[in-house]
Amino acid sequence: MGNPKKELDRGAKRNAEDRISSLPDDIIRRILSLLEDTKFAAKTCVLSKRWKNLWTSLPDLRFNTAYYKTTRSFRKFLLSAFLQRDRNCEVRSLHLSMDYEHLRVDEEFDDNSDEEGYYYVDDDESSRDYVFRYAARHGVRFVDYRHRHHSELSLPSALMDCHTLTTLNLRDLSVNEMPFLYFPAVTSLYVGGCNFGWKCFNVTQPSFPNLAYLHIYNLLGGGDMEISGTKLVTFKMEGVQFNKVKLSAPNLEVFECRDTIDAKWRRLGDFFDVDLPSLQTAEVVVNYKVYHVSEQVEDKLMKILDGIRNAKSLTLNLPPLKGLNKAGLLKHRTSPFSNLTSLKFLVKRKYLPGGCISRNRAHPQLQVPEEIKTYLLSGTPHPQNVDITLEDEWMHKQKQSSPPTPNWAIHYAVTHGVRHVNLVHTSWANLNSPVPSALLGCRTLETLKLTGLDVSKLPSACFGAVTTLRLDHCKFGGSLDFKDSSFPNLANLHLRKVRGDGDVVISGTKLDYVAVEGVLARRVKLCAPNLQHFKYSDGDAFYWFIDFCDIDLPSLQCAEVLVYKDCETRADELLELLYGLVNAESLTLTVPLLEGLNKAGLLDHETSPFSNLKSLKLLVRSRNRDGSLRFRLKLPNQIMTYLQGFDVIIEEDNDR
Amino acid sequence: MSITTENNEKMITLMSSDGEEFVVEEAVAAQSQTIKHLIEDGCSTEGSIPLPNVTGRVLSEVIQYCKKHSSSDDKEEKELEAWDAEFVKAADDHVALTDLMMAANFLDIKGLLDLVAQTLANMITGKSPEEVRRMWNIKNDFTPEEAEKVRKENQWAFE
Repeated sequence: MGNPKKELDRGAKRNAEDRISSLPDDIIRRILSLLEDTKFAAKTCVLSKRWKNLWTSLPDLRFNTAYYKTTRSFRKFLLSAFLQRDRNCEVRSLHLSMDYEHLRVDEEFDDNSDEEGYYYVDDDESSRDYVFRYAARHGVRFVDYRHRHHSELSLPSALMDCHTLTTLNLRDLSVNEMPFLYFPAVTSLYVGGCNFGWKCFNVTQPSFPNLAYLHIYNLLGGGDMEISGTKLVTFKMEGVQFNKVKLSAPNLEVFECRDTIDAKWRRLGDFFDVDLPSLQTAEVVVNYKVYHVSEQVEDKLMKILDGIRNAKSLTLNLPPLKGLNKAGLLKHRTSPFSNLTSLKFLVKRKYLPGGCISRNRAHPQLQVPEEIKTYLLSGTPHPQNVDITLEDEWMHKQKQSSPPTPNWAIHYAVTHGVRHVNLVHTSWANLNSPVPSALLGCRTLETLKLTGLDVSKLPSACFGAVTTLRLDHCKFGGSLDFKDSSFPNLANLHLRKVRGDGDVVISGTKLDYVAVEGVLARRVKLCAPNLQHFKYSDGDAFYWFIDFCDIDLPSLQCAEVLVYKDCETRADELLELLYGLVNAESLTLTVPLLEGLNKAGLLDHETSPFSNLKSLKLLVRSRNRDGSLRFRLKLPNQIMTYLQGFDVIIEEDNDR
Repeated sequence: MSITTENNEKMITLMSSDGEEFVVEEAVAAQSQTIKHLIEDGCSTEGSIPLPNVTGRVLSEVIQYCKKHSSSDDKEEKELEAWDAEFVKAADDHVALTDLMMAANFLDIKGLLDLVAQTLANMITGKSPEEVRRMWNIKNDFTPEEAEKVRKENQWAFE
């Protein structure tokens, strides 16, 4: 949206009259409702008489401690906002986000200003309950409540018995007691990031008689979990740790369970009592982060599979099945699945046919072991009619919706002229969060570092001032284009472990330094007239085949290509990359790279294309990890011929 | 006037307040709940549908939006979002966003309404009241005493 000055001037020039004030009240309220905090809407009261009372009748209320300096200013605003509010006006939705860990807590009141008439509440819970009671009395339909606090909290009992509330979203709570809950009208319930201590977590028919959709994620508790509901249709659980799980939903059609077995503490719940007669679609995705899986876990997995036996369409990932198979639990047994019509296996991307990784080789793990298939189909009367498919786990995950991420902190930073942003998103939910929309198009930003995010949307906005961009462990969909219209001033670009299924296009007239480490993409186009320094490496633990095309780097000074593994099998791609770097004056290569090219026969009768070369450095990893010497370096003759005429420095790669 | 094109798509004609006529596919126009209801009530069988509250310039932007959103599948959601952002930016150069907002409200196109409302909300964000007044030419009709009073009443919002 251009720069702010221009925006102001343009508006002023065109709107000779005040158009915005002539909009109907409802529309202005709609706009004000979208502001990140009701405080910002309240500020419009001083604009003119027309605006004075508009904010007191907003249908959507948002309060977020992030926009307040102290606990006191937050509470005071909260209460005065409700005191001034038009009492006849309905509250449609309420978003309340309280995070006192990041807020300065006031000491005793010490000021002498005139504050009579305000109702002070000293306790978080009572100010919260005041807000909830108000909302419940005024027909609230949607509540999003997040409360991060160092001590345990009670659940919002003030909202209970509210007959208008249909959607409830509870986040980041530490719950100190589980009273009997009663939410008669709630149809959708989300609970995430909560700690239940040793208490039980119950979402049952008497508490939620109308519940149809339940999504719980990142819950922690040592007690038992009980879910029941006659109207429950969809139930999703992700990273939920409870002791015993009781699940009884006669009309449940969709069940999803995702979990990661962690060495430290995460473990599967024990599905000891499951009754899902109407189940249609079930998905169980369990990943291991431990080498040794205990028998207990396997036993629990079998119980989950047994619990979802009525499913018609089943989606599973392979590691747990392979584990079960290895433990001999699948042999000579009949599976509980008798209604199967479709069966989908999720596989890791690198094992997919046609995927970038396995393009040149058939990976043995591509096959689903016969025992697993036989077992899963053994309970079905017509196994030949079952439709079996493979899907990439990552692509599959991409289709799922992820829980909402709070945008406020970034929003605050962006509106206050932030220049450097380093956003690290480490979530077990696996790179599913998009780049926060508040960040897109930030005009003041100079350095942007993103870790663990979905960066597909990044190039759709313009980052006018960004000179340094670093993406680490990010993913993208479609193609990722670092073009001048998105990043007009980009000079340093560092991509590390960025993966996606489309092209990466690196084109920018101001680019000076580009590093590509462990990038997975269909192709990488590289066209930067002023690029001086280019670095390519495979990343540390693994390699990905990568196709470079359209490389055009006329100003290149210094180039590094650091690859160590499988240079022979991908010699063509590597040679193509080298040909793109012919203008370099200083070149750093690895010995395995040259050996690979040589073995593939690509150096025979060739003269090197590097005409500007002044220095050439070859790196070698001649030592094992423990420091012992691995081999003595001797370059084959072809390589020596190929490199003739250059001063070659051979160094040990100390990166590792 | 209902015309049928080669691929059997029913076309309807929309007439803006300044008499400009737009021929669009029915599926495109039906993104507007208002027009959809008019078609269902049989208003489009003869002549064109008059839209007395919408000028030709605004209507052409609205139609551009509807065309894009009727042709795209759900799959291309991300691309669509980027398109939306570009669209609002471009539309802002041609017509006042407030007019677009009014049109979206009158024609009852939820997606467009949300899009423009969010854009306008983003414009307010982070600006002082003085800047907002200047951006939208809002005349401060408070006397200094009144202004002081209003500000005092709502002082917590300004802390």
